[in-house]
Amino acid sequence: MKNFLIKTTLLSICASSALFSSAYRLPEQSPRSTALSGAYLANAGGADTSYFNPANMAFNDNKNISSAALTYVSLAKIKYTDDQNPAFNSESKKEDLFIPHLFFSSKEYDGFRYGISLTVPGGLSKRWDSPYAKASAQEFTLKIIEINPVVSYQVNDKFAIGGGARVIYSEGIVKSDATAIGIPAKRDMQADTIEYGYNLALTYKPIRNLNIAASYRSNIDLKEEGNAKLYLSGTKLYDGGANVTVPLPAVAAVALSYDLGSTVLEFEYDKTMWSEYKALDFEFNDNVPLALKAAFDDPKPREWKDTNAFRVGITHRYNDKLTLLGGFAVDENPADSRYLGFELPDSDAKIYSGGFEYKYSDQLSFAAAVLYDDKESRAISQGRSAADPLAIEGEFKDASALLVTVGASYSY
Amino acid sequence: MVKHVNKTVLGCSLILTLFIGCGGYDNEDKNVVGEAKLLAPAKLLFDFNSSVMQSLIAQIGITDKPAFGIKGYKIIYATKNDKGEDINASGLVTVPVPSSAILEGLRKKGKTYSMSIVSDQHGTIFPDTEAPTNVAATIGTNAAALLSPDSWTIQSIIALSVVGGFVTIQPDYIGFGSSKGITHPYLLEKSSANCVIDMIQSALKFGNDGHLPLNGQIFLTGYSEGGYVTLAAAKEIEKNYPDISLKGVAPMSGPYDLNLTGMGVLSSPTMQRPDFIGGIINSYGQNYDIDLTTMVNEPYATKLPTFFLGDYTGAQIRAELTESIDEFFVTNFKVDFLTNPNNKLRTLFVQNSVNDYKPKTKTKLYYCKGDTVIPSVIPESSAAKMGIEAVNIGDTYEHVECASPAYEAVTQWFNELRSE
Repeated sequence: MKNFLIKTTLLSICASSALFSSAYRLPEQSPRSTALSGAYLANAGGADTSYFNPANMAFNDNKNISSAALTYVSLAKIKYTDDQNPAFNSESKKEDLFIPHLFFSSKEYDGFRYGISLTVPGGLSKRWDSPYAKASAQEFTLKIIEINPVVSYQVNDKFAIGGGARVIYSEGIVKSDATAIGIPAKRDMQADTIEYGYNLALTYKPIRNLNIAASYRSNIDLKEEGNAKLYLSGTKLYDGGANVTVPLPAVAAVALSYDLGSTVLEFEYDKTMWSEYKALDFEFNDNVPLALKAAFDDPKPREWKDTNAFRVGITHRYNDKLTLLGGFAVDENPADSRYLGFELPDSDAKIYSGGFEYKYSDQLSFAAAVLYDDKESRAISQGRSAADPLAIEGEFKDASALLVTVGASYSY
Repeated sequence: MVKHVNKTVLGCSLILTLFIGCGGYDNEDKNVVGEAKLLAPAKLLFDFNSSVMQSLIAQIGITDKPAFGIKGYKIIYATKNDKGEDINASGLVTVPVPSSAILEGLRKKGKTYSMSIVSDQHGTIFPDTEAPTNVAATIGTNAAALLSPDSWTIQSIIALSVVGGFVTIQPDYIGFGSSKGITHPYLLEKSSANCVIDMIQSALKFGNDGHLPLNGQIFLTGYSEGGYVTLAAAKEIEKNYPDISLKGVAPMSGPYDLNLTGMGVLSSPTMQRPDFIGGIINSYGQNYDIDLTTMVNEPYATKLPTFFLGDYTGAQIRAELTESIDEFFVTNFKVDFLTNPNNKLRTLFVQNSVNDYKPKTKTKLYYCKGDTVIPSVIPESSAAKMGIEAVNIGDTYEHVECASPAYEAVTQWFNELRSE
């Protein structure tokens, strides 16, 4: 029971996870990564490098370092304005949530170091109450929690490698209700899964001031398995097993950082392999009632494409106690306009961020960061017709996210 | 190093255990809707195509409506009686088969065909041969048998399935069909509701397995005893079955208020239908362990239990009973019933009356003003108490004559509701 309560509490904290960057991926996981808009690979250091670049653990001070952080995420309401039918205008619910992060990086043992992190590398929550949007996405929630034990090895003074295992717990909720637009079909699904993957990283320091780093996090297909209930005209016609698979995509990143003395600049490019996401295909363990098959059982194409993100970060040591950080990123969205849905009306974004670290003592430091994710408006024309009367013909706008992350780090 | 890594692995394991193993979803296997109810493969009893049915309804004067073909199946399903005992009940499921002309007509209107279910509860029967599945079994390949004017089962199928295109389900009731030999729980609320609700859930399972395009719309109707059973089922569904959504409920000419019905019968000198009254007394005596001799004079008290096991017709039972109230009932019992609100049977009648709720579903009570078996005061006062409409089908129809126009009116209403 105690474990259940702890689990429930953790999941509640992560509930409704985030949707603000590159679809449902969440690159920012610590005060530094948030303050640098995710430009945090080559210059990663401290406990959180165990997640962002385990190879860099090799270049940490020879101490055990732990850090903990909490991110508050505020997702603005997304407004949808229909081009043809004002009754279809919709507005998503505002989401406020908290995401925890834990990191550890050990001191050296014969060239090796180990670390572990608890993060929320992705997730989404979209909830709509408006009749039209609710018909397909009353709630789409994907919670993802990752435990990532890692090891690094310092090959020489200039080169280190790292890698680890990714253990993912994920939980999904899908609800839709088209009753209010005259289609009396409802869906209520809950599912979860545990999946595994790996991550690799390397760092090369060709000259004293320059770090070159690369990392790769493997694709993990999240096969969410659970129960689905399907209703027509208010009568439950299906109550049985169901699953749906969505990818937590592979991410390849390269970065370089240059230390100008008191200031470090980092440039990062990452590619997220969203093309793994071909279709949203709910599978049921038994025959789905014929009248619901097209709505709920037939695969819905998604045909996402790989996305690129370009990030730049600046870290400035103001004095021995205070370090200032800032960042900017341009982040593409992967969703194909032909198949975009209310569960994830994603669009390209520009990200602005800033923060600071304060060294309270040799052992203890504090950090805080703010990030603003500004989503572009997105007009969609999917060709509404008698054959497809619910196709999207309108514009999504006002999507944005505000993150505030605070944390503390302790070394010993 | 190894020591520290071990600690790390241990830490990982501890954290992981927080996430693993709760699951907790109701069902992750096959579709369980009706799963535990449908007990055996359905048995096909009749199968007529739409051309045959088109000719058939033309013979009864319906020439302006396209006919559906029909397939009739007997299903056996699990239910429980008032005492909570398991019963293997049976019922008839009639599936409409749309002609290509019907489908084309819908397509032109931008619609697709889907199936609404009407659960039709039959009126009082006595011999098992009149149970819907037994009536259907006698039809076989003889379409002309569907023109029988004496069977409510068939009239209902013609109105609801052949003309209306509804899936019609007709429970045999406990005591008939597969459960013959058990005393029929006549006008007992729980048993009545259970046999309908369990049949609906079984029919959903049957439909899902058979890939029928069910649309989830469930309608309830029934005549006479079937009116009572219909309202009992609707009341229980609204109270305890949120996963069954009723689209419309149309009980017809039923004794919804048993206390009022009983007072009317016992305050009269004669009984118009001693077979009905004998059936009620026998049912309540057996279910509530009331000694029949405390209510009914001999030789009727001894004979009653043998009459209601599905082996006698109503006429045969009536021939064995008396129409005289004073001859049939023990005098002290009659007086006590009429004067003492705490009389045991009267209390049970109040408990089993089904007009004591306010329907959330669209519900209308259909009746005929001229009905002397179920006097109009019963549906009219029940409708007033329940805050719903009572629909008078005609001022001159008697109980039996009222059925056909009432079914017609109900089919029309359901057809309107189906399209909403």
